Amino acid sequence: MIPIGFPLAVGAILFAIGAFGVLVRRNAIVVFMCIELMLNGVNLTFIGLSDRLRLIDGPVFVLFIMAVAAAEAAVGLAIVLSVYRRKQSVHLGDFDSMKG
Amino acid sequence: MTPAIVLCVLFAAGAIAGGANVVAQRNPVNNAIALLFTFICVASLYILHGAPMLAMIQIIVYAGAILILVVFTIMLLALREPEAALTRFWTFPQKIASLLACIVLGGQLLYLGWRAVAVAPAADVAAARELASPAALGRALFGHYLLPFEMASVLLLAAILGAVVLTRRPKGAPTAVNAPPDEGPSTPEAPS
Repeated sequence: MIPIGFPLAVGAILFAIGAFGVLVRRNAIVVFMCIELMLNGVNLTFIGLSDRLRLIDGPVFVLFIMAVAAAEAAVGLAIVLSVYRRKQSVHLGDFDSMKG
Repeated sequence: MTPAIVLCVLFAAGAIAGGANVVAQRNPVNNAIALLFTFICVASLYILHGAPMLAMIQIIVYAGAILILVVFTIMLLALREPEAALTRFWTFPQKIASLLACIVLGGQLLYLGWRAVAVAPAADVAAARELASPAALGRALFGHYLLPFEMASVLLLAAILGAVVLTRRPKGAPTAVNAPPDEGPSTPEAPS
């Protein structure tokens, strides 16, 4: 049997890497990919725990997270596209129209 | 060291290396390929943890749909210059601070998982080995989780409509999806 610390650790590391990317990268598309990475880390934690605790709820939650991630991908990339049309850039530093 | 653990270590190393590349690569296409690699490694980990159905869905939804969408967007935008390295947008101490913050976040996730294992009653190992089999997943999805399931379908519909509305061009605008300001018929707008 695979020790429970294993999926938990990998999930936490993936989540931390994704969070670091969200904070440090300035390309909107790369930030978007890092968010997907964070979601994958959480999903792995869900699967590992539900495998250990013998609960079906974990996989169901992962399924819902995937559905929401798909919706988020469609809307998020549409936003990136329409912002690019307006600003000719996907650099997050350029999006400062609302800066006081 | 059973074969399962060896495979687990292998795929975990692959997932982490892929994740690190998602953050570190400069060219968005390379980021996307690293992300694909991570998705496949995570799907393999799902299989090793007794959730083959979810592994297939992971491949179909993440690697199939979401990543194609990302690559499609990268292609449409035709970014001319890759982003300057882990940019000079932030100073060095700020990067260190964000690294620490992320380590704390990951640590919290790890701690919560440990607590869940410690608090939960002893697992019934005699239960069916394939916990997340398609049949069990379907029973849970169309039984206890029926309402959230239906709401997810409404959410997806709303997302489709939102994406269509957001990317629709206003009337009278040029038809090219991404006419660069210097060669398209669109009115040139100075890149900010």
